[in-house]
Amino acid sequence: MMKRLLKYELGRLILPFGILYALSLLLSLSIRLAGGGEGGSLAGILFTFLLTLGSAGILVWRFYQTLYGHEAVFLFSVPTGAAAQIAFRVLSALVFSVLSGFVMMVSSLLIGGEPSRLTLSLTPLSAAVYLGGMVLSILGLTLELELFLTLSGLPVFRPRQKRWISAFFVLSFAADRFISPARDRLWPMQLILTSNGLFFSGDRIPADFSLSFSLAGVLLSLIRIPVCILLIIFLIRRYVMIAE
Amino acid sequence: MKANEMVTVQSPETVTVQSREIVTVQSPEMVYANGLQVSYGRHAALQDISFSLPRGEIIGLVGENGSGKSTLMRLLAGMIPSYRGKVRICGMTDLWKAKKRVSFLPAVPFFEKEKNVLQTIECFSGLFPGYRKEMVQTLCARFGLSLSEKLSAFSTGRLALALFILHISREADLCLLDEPFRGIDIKTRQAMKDVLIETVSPEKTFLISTHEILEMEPLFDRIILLKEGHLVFDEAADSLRERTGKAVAEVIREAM
Repeated sequence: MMKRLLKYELGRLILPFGILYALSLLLSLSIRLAGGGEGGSLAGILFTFLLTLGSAGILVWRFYQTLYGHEAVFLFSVPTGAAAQIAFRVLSALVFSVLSGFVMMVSSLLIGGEPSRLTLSLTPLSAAVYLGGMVLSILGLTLELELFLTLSGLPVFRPRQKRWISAFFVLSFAADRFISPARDRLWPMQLILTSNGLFFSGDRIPADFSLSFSLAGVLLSLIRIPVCILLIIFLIRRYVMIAE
Repeated sequence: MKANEMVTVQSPETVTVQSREIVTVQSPEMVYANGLQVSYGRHAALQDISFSLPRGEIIGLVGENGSGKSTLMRLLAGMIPSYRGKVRICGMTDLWKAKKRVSFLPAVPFFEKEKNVLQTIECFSGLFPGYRKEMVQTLCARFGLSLSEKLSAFSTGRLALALFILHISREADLCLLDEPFRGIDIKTRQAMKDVLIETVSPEKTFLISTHEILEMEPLFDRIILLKEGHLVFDEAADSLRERTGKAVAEVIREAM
């Protein structure tokens, strides 16, 4: 049944995301063809920002519809366990979050542009750690956000349980902000793929751009993702819908 | 079954005895509710509601706006996690699991505007196990509802009829219909009533909330009246008429 729900939700998300991706790729290709070399870096950042905003907008809109709108009543009446109700929402959102990340990267590469004088060249290992850290951290954060939205909207938990769930996520977000400054500092920069390897290009190169910070970020993400999954399993087993 | 064997109720119709012998028994009632209380913040939507719904009947749930009809429907549909009291549907206390046996048509049902009836049938049959596609197709053909027409192109009445047919064609023992006749013309209402009469069976129960009591009275076997979250009465329609010597609609008007 989870597969059917997932298929249904992916089907509902394909159209808005398809339009967003098509527009993004078309625009970035147009900029490339128009010779956007000099402003490429800025355009890339703008694109990343707009795509993030667009993707988040679509996901929040879908979460609202499937948790609080008329569609929510329809989906909650589907005879499945609470786990399937949580999983199909989170998984479909995660699939499109990853796809959005991929489209962001392709758009940035399409816009391209010459690396600025502040371009930082990385060894393949460091690049893999930074990139992996960013991807994992963003995935962890996305997973947590999607889980939080689902768990708070699902008619499964009682108000007190929802307060505990909220507390967990607030703490987790706070930990993420505290431990992963390297990732945040990488945000304004653009990833450039050239014949010589991977580069981060941007106007601000952080002074503490060290491997240890990124490794800490990767480690935190590697812990947070399974903790989230374990939390869901625990909550479902412990609390789901027990009639008094 | 021996009298001294320990019996554990597993599901509404299945009883396991210690010797692993499986026998099937019938749950005496479709719904059993005792002392149900639901609050939205400080507002008590349902207060100490107790009733039981027999199998194979069409039951009218009536009351003024805000009396708790929709809350009761949503609770039985397993969409209100926070409530007090006991409720059992087909013998199951876990309302999340009981969804397999319950079909719920809300007051404002959801549908995908861009889909036609046939595509919607496919969507429903994908999500609801045992969905009776043929029944929908037969009923749609009978009432002249085109399968290839988009739902958004339907008039209000035809859309309501199509959604009504789509929902009651689920393989469910309990059908919860929240104000299905609201804003519907008399011809469509008659069509809906015909479908209901044909669909009800000894195993299928309909709980219908409505304000059109005068018109729907002959349809109901049983009436539940709610007022400000309290249960005023839960009685068989015939018994109510006999006891009061009045029409059900009149009794309800006086009680409200």
